[in-house]
Amino acid sequence: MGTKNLLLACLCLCILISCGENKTTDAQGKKKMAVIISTLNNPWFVFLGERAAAKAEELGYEAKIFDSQNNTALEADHFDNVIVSGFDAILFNPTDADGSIVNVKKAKEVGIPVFCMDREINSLDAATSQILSDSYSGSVAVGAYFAQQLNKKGNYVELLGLVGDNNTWARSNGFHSVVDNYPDLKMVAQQNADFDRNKALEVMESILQANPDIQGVFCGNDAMAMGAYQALIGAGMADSVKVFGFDGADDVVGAIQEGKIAATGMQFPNVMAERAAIYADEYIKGKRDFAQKIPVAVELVTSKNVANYAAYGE
Amino acid sequence: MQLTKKILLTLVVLILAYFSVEIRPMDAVDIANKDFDATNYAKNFVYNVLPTSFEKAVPLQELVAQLKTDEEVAFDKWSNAIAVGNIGYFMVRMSGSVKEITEDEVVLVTSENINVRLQTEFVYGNAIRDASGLVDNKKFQNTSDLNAIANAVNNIIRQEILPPFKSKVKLGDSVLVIGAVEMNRKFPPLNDFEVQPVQLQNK
Repeated sequence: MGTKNLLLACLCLCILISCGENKTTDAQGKKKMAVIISTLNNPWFVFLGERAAAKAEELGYEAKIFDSQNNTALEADHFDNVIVSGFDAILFNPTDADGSIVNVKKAKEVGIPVFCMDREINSLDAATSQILSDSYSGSVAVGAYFAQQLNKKGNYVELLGLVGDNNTWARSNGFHSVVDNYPDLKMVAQQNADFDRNKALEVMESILQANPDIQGVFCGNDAMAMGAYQALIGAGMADSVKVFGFDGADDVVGAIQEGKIAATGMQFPNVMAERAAIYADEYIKGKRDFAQKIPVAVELVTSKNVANYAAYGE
Repeated sequence: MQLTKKILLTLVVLILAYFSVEIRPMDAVDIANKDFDATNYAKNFVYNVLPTSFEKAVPLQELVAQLKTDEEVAFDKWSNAIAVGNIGYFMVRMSGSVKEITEDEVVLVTSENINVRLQTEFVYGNAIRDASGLVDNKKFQNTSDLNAIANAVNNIIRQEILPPFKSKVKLGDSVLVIGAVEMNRKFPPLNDFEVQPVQLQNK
């Protein structure tokens, strides 16, 4: 049985390698970049993917976007297709910090460079480079503003993103590195809502039934902040509870202007997407020395400075 | 016989499941590099490395004058930042007299009438870590190590540098400060600065 599996694995590897070596340009003579995105069910990732593809095209490549639907198995299928189809580089937004490593390594084995965008993988030698939002530092800034706005006291709720995503923990840890210094700030509930607006609404409704006395909600992304805000409206608490998000999504920038959301951490997907495409182009042209991790600064957006910002740092 | 087979099969499945799954509480998920001692690094950085940059700290009035003329030159000349983007950090020096003391800050006004809000409580973020340009990010492949350095440096400032100053400072005192300023290159301030102090002296 073991020998059979070994033979099968060797066969698959041979097929992958032979496909990888057979990279071809398209009918117009263009080289190709694949843009593999964790989910296109979230406008933030749609923006990231479209910008990466647009920059690749601007640099003279054919670009194609793949939607992994937050599913590592589907992501693996995309990698197989990309390798078989002879793409020259992958601009990659992973679904899972651990689960996606094997896919990146698969591409690396056949000589296709992978540039991670926004989400990191837990490996320092699989991707060619990882261009990431400085989520931790951004959440430190949100956490400090949170503590100031709540005058360093009160009960609060934290909604986490996907448990397997490093950004979830970078944001949570950054936030707690500040608020945990103030013992009168008490977290009464911490629950994951998977970066999803509808799930955040449901989770928040349930939390509010058990904990009606809260003054703040920190959410790991803006979609969850809007879901939490909706739940607070339903409970008649929207005016007394301050909601904080992360991303810089269009609806949250508008909500900050209207005084509905207190603050968000503005990310710059455009910067990450463009850098990834530029680095991939440089790799294809022969450059090899890339820093493994390149942080991209996150900016705090509040009612005081929101006039300076549009969605996604535009 | 059939029953024994089923029991054995169940046992095998349970044993395999036990060794293939690791259940950890959500708050135990931590991607930090456990081998790196950020506290010791930060102690050496604050007390031995950072003071070597004090002579190069730009006088605040000089920085303001350059920002008014051409902010890009000011950023190129004096700012540092590990992250890519609009945020730059400056190591600045200034003196001024204390005009207001609150729970979280001490407000100074300089002789050029520039407002300086010394942070005495909310000392967080990367300003002090990055302003001198003396932390080399290429030496740290794990971003968690860089985050840990910022945390540890800020803790030293909050717990060791600021308390003696906070306990003595009075309205009207003349204070010499070296500190870090965070600035967005798209919207640089010109007469109101938030400063994270690194060294404080009553004149």
